[in-house]
Amino acid sequence: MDLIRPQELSKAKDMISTLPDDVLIHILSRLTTKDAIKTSVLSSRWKNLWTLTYNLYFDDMPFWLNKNYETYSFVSCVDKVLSLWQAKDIQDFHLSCSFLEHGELSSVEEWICFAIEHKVSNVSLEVDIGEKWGFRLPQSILTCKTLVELSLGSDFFLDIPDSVVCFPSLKILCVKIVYPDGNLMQKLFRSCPILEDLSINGSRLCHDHLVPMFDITVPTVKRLKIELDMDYSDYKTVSNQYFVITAPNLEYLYIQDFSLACIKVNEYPLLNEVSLHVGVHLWREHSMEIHEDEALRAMQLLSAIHNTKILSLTFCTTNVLSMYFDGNMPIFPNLTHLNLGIDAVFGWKLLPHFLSNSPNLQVLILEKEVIEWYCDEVDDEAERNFVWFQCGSVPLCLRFHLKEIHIKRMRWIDDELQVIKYLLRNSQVLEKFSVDFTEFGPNRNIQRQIRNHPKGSDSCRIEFL
Amino acid sequence: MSSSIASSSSSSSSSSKKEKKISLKTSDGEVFEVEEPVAMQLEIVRSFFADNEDVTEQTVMPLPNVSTAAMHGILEYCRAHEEFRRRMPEAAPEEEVRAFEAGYVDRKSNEELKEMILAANYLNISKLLDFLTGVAAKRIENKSVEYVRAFFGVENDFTPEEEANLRREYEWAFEGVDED
Repeated sequence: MDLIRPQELSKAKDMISTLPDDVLIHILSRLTTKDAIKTSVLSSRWKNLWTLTYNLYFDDMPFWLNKNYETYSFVSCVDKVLSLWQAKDIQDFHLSCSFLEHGELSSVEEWICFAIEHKVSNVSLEVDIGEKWGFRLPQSILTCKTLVELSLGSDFFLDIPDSVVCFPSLKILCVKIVYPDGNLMQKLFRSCPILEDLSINGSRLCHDHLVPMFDITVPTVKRLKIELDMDYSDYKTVSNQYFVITAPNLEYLYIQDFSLACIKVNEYPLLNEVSLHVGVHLWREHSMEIHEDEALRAMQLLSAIHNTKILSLTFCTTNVLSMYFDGNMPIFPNLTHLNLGIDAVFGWKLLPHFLSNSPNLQVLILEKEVIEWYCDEVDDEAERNFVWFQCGSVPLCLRFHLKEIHIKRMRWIDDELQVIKYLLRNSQVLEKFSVDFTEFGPNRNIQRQIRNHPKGSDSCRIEFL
Repeated sequence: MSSSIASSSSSSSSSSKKEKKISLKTSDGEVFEVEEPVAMQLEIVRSFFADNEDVTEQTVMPLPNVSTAAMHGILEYCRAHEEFRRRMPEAAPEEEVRAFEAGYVDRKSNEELKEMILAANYLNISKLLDFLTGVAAKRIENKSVEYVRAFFGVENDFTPEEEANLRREYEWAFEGVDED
């Protein structure tokens, strides 16, 4: 006969060698609910721990990957989990489902209600159900005082009353638009009184569903991210999309748009950081022609954000800006950091203008586009349009402010060397100059040329990375 | 990246006037002299000094639930974050933080990780606890029951029938598990 029952012995061992319950609940809360439930069979101590997690993550994909999927229904499994779950509040509620039947959509609404009743702070929903019917958000979400972050990964229905403050605590909102209802979006954005961070993802925006205007008027918003991406066959239709941004307190703006949609920014916000990734990859779609008024949208966008301190333009953006460039570059009075892509077709066309019009520039990063495969069309275009670097009088920023220059993806060809020599000779307060040749290997001869070239600043440190 | 942290922290300590240090004593008796802003990330230390007015700079605070090994790990993390904060007070350099955290945790075994989680929980460093529990979750994600049992050092006290019943009850949760 054992003096100590094996169950008690193992319990004692368990307590010593493992973590306390509150820490385990912390760990279980970071798992999908499916994984958390699996721990119920570890030992008797673990049997009900999963019911105390503060996050709930449901995904119906494993149900469909499962060979026995017909035996369980996702809806009844979620219903059962929610009936057993016994923590007080929910922090994150995440639901991802792609295989629901129309008749099951009412369950989604009930689950969201459940989360709202349990004081949820982050809700993330991906309910992919095709174009015919969106899912409905419960009206109680409008008045939920605990909801801080909401991510809507698919089209939805919601009745937002006029002139009533909704979403009283919502700070972060992310919407994915496929067949968007422009009015609903406008109402949604306007009804959030303290919204700070807004992302609009239109990477699957449907081309046969035209929205003439998308009004983004959010006075409190500080961070805005818009992503539009299309099949190139849809390019013509989407370029009729209109986005009007009125966000006077905007600090950070990111735009990725390969459809050249018309994006207008009103009121010249005092931005801190802007990143533009707009245009089209010409060499992928040879037959495509970009009209002047479409290309000029990019320049209008650049003019609207000229107050920014930090600016990143990809070479795709530089390409479309260069296309019909008439010599009029906006002035960037606050710009201190510029990250500029140098595109393969137009080369150094815009760099002198950026240098001349950015009197306070301190850090300059140049990244050269490298054509990934041999392509005649780009070569032909580049032969016609390529511009070598030339600059008149020495820009103010080079004389007084520019401290750091970093050059990425250099190929060691003559036009690059000419730019490097110009910048080294004329940058009078330069402290650090670095060239990244990780991709094309070092070139001792050119490195020596750069080191020995006359420099405007004695204290400049040169680095080859 | 780590070299730039090291060099700038050494230059900051040599240039600034004598920095205030706080003495912390681990369970195995080692005393750590920790820069004040770093020590204050440990909520248990912060509240100890805030609540006790009679403590002085000479006070050595005992931390009986933290081993020396865990303390080294804790301080490495807190010092790095203090350095990020000092360099960029408004917004931490996200990429650098991620790179640091990935490297930091890669070197740790499951046992070390659990010890660190215990220490972070006791010292009440919510940021580190969040990070480490997330790492632990990643390590057991989609793994078999046997693997997870070994990870937590759990001894199964269920009878085979009890376990089979539970597995039946949540059958859907046990489908589709990665290789251990």
